[in-house]
Amino acid sequence: MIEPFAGTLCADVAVIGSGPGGAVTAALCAEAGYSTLLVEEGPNLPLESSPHFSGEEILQKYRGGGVTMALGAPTLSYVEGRCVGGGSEVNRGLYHRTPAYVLEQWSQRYRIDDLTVESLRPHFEACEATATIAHLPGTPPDLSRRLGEGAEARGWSAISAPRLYDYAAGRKQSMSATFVPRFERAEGRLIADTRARRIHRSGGKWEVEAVHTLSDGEQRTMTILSDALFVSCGAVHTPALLRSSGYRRNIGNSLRFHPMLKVVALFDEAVNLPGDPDPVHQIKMFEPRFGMGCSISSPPLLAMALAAHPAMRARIADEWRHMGLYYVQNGGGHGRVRSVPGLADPLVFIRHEEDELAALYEGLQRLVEALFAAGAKAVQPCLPGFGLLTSEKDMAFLPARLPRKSAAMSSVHVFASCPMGEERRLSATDSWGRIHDGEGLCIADASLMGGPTIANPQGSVMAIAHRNALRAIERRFA
Amino acid sequence: MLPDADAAIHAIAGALAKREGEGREGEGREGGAEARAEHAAAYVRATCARAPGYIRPPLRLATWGFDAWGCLRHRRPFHALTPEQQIAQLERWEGSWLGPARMLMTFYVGVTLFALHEQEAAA
Repeated sequence: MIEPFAGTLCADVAVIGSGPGGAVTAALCAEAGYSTLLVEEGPNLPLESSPHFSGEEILQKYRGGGVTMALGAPTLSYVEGRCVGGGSEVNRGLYHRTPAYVLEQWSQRYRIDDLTVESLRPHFEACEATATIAHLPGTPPDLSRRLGEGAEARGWSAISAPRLYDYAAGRKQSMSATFVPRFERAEGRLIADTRARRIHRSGGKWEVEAVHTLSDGEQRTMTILSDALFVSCGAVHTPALLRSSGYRRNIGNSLRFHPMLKVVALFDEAVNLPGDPDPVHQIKMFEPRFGMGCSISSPPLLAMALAAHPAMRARIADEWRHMGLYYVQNGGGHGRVRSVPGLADPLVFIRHEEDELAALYEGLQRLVEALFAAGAKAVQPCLPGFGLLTSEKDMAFLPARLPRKSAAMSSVHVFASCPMGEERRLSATDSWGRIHDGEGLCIADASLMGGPTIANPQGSVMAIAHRNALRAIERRFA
Repeated sequence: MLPDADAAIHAIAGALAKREGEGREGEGREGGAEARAEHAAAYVRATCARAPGYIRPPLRLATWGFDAWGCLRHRRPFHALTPEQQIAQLERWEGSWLGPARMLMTFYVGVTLFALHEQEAAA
């Protein structure tokens, strides 16, 4: 990492944002022999700087202290990473390649050139060679296994999802542990604690106005000059930066989420033991209508999920080993990102269609069924106003529709705010991430996706960034 | 005594630490309620300080309003009420018909409980 700096930095290529899209792009550009700067707004911290899913990690590595939200009825809270490695540092690393039907939908809607399972395969393989993908060796934790058993009892299928995880080394495969070191080995220069405020074209180069924050909090303005520029600030802050810089066509108008509802299941036996590996089971057979899975179920996260349910919460201290947190999510919710003069953080607005909420609510009910089939003695939907369900029969007392005021939704995935494709009426960039009429300015993050994957999108983000970066290098960024 | 958002955050943490610990005093918690509340309040304040710019001012204003609400019923702000009165006001707001009031409580209860349980797990 280079030292704090005030003044002007020059490079062939600058990449703003070091999450899965930015880190992959920067590594490839540096390895191709271009002097490359990787600029990150958040701090540069080791993967192990704080325990995973701890309060310390939230304060260190999450944007906005973990309380970012999309405004709407209902609102939706979402989380993003804000550190070197971005979201890859704070997620669980569950991994899927993009399903074929999803790629077909994106390609048809946005007329994306050459985006198929076959054409993406080498890019997935290249990313997977650097960031190890593995299935959990041995027996999954009971918390996870129970969901699989519940699915089987209902005649459904469940999978044990692979993760970006090196089980032999016991280490998560985040960007700070994989592509960022690869970038630095290729003599790329990383600048952390540096926020890009505006970009513009000047004298045939890209000029990034940025502010670097020193460890004592002092801020210094700086300018980055580069021949090529990739914006990789994530699906909320990429459109915010672009819109602030005058790029607005189809930028920030189509943000999507994976809205999630949660339940806590209580079992007779202990299923949630200290030291258990993270749960990996998922029920994917209902996708894209909805998908289900297991969440991290530590006592603090159980307590937070049960904030509106004091009776169940009172049992955490004595019974948390018998409790598991599970989720259902789908691709509902349509958002817009708008930057506001004077505010560092953009506003995000969301609206939900009735049929999307209905699908999510149906998924919640299927999840409850699976958990009772797995032997749960009680299930508490983490929705204000919803009572404890002590048997499947209690589901008859659930409201027919999910009341909007009870829809306590969250999302750990945001994407699709600047979709790529040749359909200029809808897309923000061409099929390779270059902004329409943007003089070569590129996007390289989840913003480019054409919509929800329901599956965890990090693999898709990395593979598409790999595909687009190789294309940009081949064309010498023209 | 005037309403004060920071004092209200500390008092909310204290009231929740007391409410969550009720009935479990025989579990090595004696004398620790104040320390647990202080830890939780510090975590909530750190979270609020990092919150996005569009959340911080309304959150602070709403917190001030929550503190001032105590004056209507008891002529003292929330942070100066007795623990029993504080818990009663918290629960009234948790069950309020006003969405913003419920949202404010959901935020504080969620973050404070996260901090309290994390501290307990660490101990």
